[in-house]
Amino acid sequence: MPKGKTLKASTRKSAIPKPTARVVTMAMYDYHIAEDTGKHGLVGIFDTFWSKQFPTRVAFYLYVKSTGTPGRHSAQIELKDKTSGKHLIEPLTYEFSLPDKPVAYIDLVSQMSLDLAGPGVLEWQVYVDGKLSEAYPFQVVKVD
Amino acid sequence: MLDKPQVNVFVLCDRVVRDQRGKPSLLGVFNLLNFPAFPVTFSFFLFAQITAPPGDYRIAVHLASDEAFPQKLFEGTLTIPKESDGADIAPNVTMPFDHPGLFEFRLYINDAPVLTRPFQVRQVA
Repeated sequence: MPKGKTLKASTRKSAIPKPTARVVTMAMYDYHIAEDTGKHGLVGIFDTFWSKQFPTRVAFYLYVKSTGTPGRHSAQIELKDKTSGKHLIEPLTYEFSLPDKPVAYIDLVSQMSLDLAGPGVLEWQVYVDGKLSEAYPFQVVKVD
Repeated sequence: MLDKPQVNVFVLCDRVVRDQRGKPSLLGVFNLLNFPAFPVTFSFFLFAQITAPPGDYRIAVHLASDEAFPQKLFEGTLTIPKESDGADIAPNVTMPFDHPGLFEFRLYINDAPVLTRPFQVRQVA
């Protein structure tokens, strides 16, 4: 390299598009059935936590379906209190590959245990490849 | 909680059953369909859980393919009661498939498209 010249990093973008993915479904439910055929059973789907008393601990399953372009992807699932912004669980992190098919989905299943301090509005936030893909708010309600 | 409808769950499955309180369970959730021969007619359930402010919503689900105009699979009204912030639909649909291919489910709420879901039908030996 001639003296006095510096080597600059290329600013040209790669011709190969970066794999992208997104979340298309998130469900909370009581019990999971994994069938030999690869099908899933989601028993007792709900969208609200009901409890007569607080604090309370709840156990449930979380099902997240994603789709996208072929290649490696990462997902991170967070749960926040919408009012305080406080994180309620350690983030769940996954890595997955989507095959080179016309349509490809990946199903992530997590068994959860969660301490609920009181009624309020919580929100699942799912980040895929570092970007917020979807947010799913839900209520925690006290019943008599 | 939300100012507009949001579809939390949209899946295809073999069966939807409900307990005495109406809580749904989805059995045999699948992502694609494999058939050994065509044409074939297949019956399955569409399940959509929707979060929205209380009220009545017109829901429609269409199936589109490259080779045909979108056809309406389901049309109905979803009522979200005051004491809740969500509800679901679970129509049982029976579909003829003349050939393998790529299809797309399209969900409309009050005539506005809110979700598309690509779907593959394959021929397997």
